Amino acid sequence: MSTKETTTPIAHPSTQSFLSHQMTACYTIAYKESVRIVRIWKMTVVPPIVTVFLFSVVFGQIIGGKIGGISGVSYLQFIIPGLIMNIVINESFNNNASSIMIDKYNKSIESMVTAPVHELTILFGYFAGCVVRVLMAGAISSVLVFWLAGIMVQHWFLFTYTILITCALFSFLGFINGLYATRFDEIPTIPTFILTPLSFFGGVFYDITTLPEPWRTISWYNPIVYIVDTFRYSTIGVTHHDITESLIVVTAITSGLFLLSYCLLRTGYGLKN
Amino acid sequence: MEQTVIDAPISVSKVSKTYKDGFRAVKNVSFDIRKGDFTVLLGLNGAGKTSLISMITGLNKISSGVIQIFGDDITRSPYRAKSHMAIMPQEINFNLFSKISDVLIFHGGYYGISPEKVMQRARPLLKKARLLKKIDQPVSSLSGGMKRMLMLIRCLIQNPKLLILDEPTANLDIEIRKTIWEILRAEHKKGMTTVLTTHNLEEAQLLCTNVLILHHGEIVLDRSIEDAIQSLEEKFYSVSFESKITQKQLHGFSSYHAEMREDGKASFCIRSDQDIGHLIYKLHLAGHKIAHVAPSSHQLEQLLHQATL
Ligand SMILES: Nc1ncnc2c1ncn2[C@@H]1O[C@H](COP(=O)(O)OP(=O)(O)OP(=O)(O)O)[C@@H](O)[C@H]1O
Ligand SMILES: [Mg+2]
Repeated sequence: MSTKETTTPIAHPSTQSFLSHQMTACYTIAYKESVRIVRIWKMTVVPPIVTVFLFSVVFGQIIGGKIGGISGVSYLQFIIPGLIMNIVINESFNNNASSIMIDKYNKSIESMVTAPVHELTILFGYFAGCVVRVLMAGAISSVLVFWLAGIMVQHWFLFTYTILITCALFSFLGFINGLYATRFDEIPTIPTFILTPLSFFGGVFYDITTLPEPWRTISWYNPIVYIVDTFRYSTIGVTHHDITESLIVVTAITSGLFLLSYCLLRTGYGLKN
Repeated sequence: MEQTVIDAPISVSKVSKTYKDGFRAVKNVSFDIRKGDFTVLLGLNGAGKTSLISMITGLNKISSGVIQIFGDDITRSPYRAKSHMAIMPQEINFNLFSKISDVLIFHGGYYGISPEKVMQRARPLLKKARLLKKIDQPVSSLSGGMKRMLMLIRCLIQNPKLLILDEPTANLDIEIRKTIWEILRAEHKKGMTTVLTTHNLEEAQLLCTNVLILHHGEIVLDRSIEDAIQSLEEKFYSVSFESKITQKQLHGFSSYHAEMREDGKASFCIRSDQDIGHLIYKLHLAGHKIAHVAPSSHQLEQLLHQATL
């Protein structure tokens, strides 16, 4: 059979501008994720609201009443920013890790892999999906506990940026976990052995500057410390670290994970044989 | 009218696939598929058909060699190459909890097609497949055959220039198979280039113009079906009659290995020194009124058998 032949050019979707095609694809991924999040709302939206409410009541109101103030605010006010950040961290991570794993399991991801969707489009689409999940789970809880503790957001720009950058960081981490996992039991590994310990030692419940050495120094190697500290500053104006430096650390880690996910996607890691 | 030169829908050059466990599923394969061809890719189970197709569609990495789709390298310019083709994979690959309409909308979105356009293109096809009333139901509520129909519809909403189907009609009843054949024939008539793998040789003979045979990962035959059959030493024809005929009545045709089949048609074997015209004449003389004569799928079976000996 010959390779060349003559024919008249025909109009085809591929002549559609690359950018507008990728925007549609990105929107589609975000929409697909949103549909899934809404479909399983009992798993995606309700638990974080219940958890943050229980933590606020038990630790903030009951135990916090005995502890008194910390860094010039009530204990309840002190822990709430960290609790909200925990929602952002867990929901972003879990969304991508489980979504990618499920789509790999039922092979529906093949339809995206064989489609002309750019790797950046895929990453941004899944990130947007995480933002939707964080908003759905986080907005209701935030309004509830901010009202409970009488918190007014102090720095809106910082507040929004911290949520988005944290969401991005853990969405990329979850994405990498989803690519790497070949079985469902490989999904909880990172949350159980890495995220939960880092969150607990991330200064959500205590002021890390009051820790004895070497724990205080070690704590600054925990990225969640920077996230919680920045977010706490944006909400109640309390900080233990230079905010610019915290932002640089968090943004740098996010960029690193972004690059890693992009490279993994380009090589087809976990998706192509 | 001004004419421009475009490249082959599929051009495969010295392509091999070695899996992680070291198994070589495809070995140094080269072939081209021309615009408008309807090619069947035949081969025994495990011959490497799906492995080859997965490389063409970008789902498998290529171990060595080059694959171009309408001139675009699938590895180096994947976005352009992928935008030309639609793939119906061998295995069902839906999220079973998704609604039927969402399956189509998500898929269309990956190709930059708006939801409105997707539904506009899908509606007549869904209607033909009797799925229109079910579009708000989850995919899990569909039967196996309906899921395969949906996979085909998902491909067609792309309006692809090249359609690749990996065993589209496996395990389907004759009615759904016929619907799928009808759709494929219509698309082919409109100019779509199609590649199909199947173990149903009747289907292959009915639909396809070209045949590629893959054996142990190597191409052992690459021709038009007509040429390939011409080259056979013996050719089988399937003849149906206007009235019912028994094996006994075919007694005088033993030199043609005449045999009544379960479907009521008779099968005749014509050697290279015999002539089909002569057979028809003899049947006529014997008083058997012929309704239809067609090359039997035995011929492809024979081709496959010879090529994979
Ligand atoms: N991911 C994989 N890892 C290792 N070996 C594989 C993998 N996928 C397929 N193979 C092997 O490659 C060979 C070809 O498989 P392939 O699925 O391409 O065959 P096929 O021609 O499509 O068969 P069938 O007609 O049964 O669908 C088989 O021996 C199979 O075991
Ligand atoms: Mg196969």
